[in-house]
Amino acid sequence: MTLLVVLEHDRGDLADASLEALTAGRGLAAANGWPMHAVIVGANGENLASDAAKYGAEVSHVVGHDMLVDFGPEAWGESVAQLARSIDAGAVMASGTERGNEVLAQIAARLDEPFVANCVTVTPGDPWEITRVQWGGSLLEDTTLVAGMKLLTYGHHSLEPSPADSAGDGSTIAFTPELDATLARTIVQDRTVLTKGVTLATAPVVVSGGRGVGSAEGFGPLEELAELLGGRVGCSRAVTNNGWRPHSDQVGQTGTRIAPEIYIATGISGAIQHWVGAMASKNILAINTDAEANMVVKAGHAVIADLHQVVPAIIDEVKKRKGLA
Amino acid sequence: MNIVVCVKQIPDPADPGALDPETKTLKRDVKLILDESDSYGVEMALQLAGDEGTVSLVSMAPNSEVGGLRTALAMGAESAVLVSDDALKGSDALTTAKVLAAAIAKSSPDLVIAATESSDGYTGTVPEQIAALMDLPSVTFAKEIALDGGTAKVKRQTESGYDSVECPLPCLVSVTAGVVEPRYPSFKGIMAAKAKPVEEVTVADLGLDAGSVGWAGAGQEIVSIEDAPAREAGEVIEDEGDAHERIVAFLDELKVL
Repeated sequence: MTLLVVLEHDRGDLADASLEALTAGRGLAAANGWPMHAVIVGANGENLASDAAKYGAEVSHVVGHDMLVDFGPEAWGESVAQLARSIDAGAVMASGTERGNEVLAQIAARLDEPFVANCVTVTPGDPWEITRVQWGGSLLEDTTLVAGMKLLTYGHHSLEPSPADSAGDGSTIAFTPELDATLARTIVQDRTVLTKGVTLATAPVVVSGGRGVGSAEGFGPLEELAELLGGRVGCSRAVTNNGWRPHSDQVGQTGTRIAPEIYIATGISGAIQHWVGAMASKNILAINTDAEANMVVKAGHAVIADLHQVVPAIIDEVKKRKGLA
Repeated sequence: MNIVVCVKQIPDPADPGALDPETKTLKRDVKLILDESDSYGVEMALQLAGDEGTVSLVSMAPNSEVGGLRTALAMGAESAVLVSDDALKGSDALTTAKVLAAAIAKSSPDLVIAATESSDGYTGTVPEQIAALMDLPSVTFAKEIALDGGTAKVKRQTESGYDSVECPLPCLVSVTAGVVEPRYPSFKGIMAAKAKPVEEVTVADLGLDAGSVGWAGAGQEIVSIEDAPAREAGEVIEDEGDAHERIVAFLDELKVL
């Protein structure tokens, strides 16, 4: 048996989430006494084999086909399913990103095997015991998994990626799947990039405002602070509902899930749906006049203060330290 | 244009009630409401169908529950199919997808719309599995759908913007929350919804084997469920005029300055 990790990449740019998957997969493979293999689908994938080896993959299967240049869940799912069958994989896993979950869902339907998404911990045995999140992370579900081939994704940001202590060189094996032309029915015509540089999802600092900011103009100081800290501005649902910020700035279950080094939440009460989007942040600092606000109670650090006074004072202090004032 | 929208009826997130020790999910004997995530798909379907097309609903829920379906019918959907069967208790995501796929197939739709993930179970895997089981092309994370003859033109949300994606009909599109403004049901709509047809079907009606669904069919079984641990109680400071200095010192400590 083999543990197969699906790597996500965009024409050769490896997704950071896949390093998390390799790190988790390495532990899981070792616990089973299986080797870990990686599968890389699509154009320029062969360049990623050395990264996979660094993280402990003994073999990288490079899947090539004319229909696999760009991501498509059907063709990717079918290709990985064929490979998994051909190498008799005991488990196939990926990171629980949008693409990771789509590919595994396709494999599950194609092989008629159950798929457990967004796992936090996985303990092999008979049966495998898994903890995963429900209700956007507010509940933990303990699940057992019995399947011929185990299919799972690890929750994105649920662990820190780390290279293997003693990595081999790894070998590369080419694999050509048999794909029916109907698997390429979904075609990407064009790509539009609206956000240059760091995105809300990847920013190291997110400065967010809620109802307490009071107006669209009230976000000016938050913009300034975010820029000084190399971060991005986020907001709560109340803000998008009021039309103060676009939906693309919304942090939460129905917005973007963030995982910055620090999340500065100002004037945000912290409904569960917002908390879900913010809870992967390494540090959370709430600034609010209401000491009872959910955000204040849950955050690791809270300051009971009026954001309209504190934020400009922080900006001045940061400028002073940076020698800008 | 015949559009089917998959909708889930869930406990009210504001008052989710207790965990059911038997099913290890939230108790479903409380009043169920339309999952807010699905209201966006219903709205998109109604806009795409216009006056010519039809929008119908498919849902799977215990105890013949129709509370959430009535809300979507009041918004303007014409009819619904509800799969309700004790044999479905304990179904995992793949089984749910099989059941919904069988119910959807009854009406041979041009377009199937689903939310990217439910608010409660939160696996986000069902739409893609329905597509694979029905052999339909799929586009996920749609923020905009346009229909052009036999082609769906979809803006698929990405981290940095969007991809313009095309696929032929019939297809399945999963819709991201918050991308359209779901209409509030009018009083007239609410009254009309009461008379709209909701066809209740069982697993057997769909031609599925009761032994292949529910606990019996699930390779994945939930054994317990609990509240996620809260973060450690944090440090709360009252601003005594030096809060900004302490905050900046903290930012410096984190090396984000």
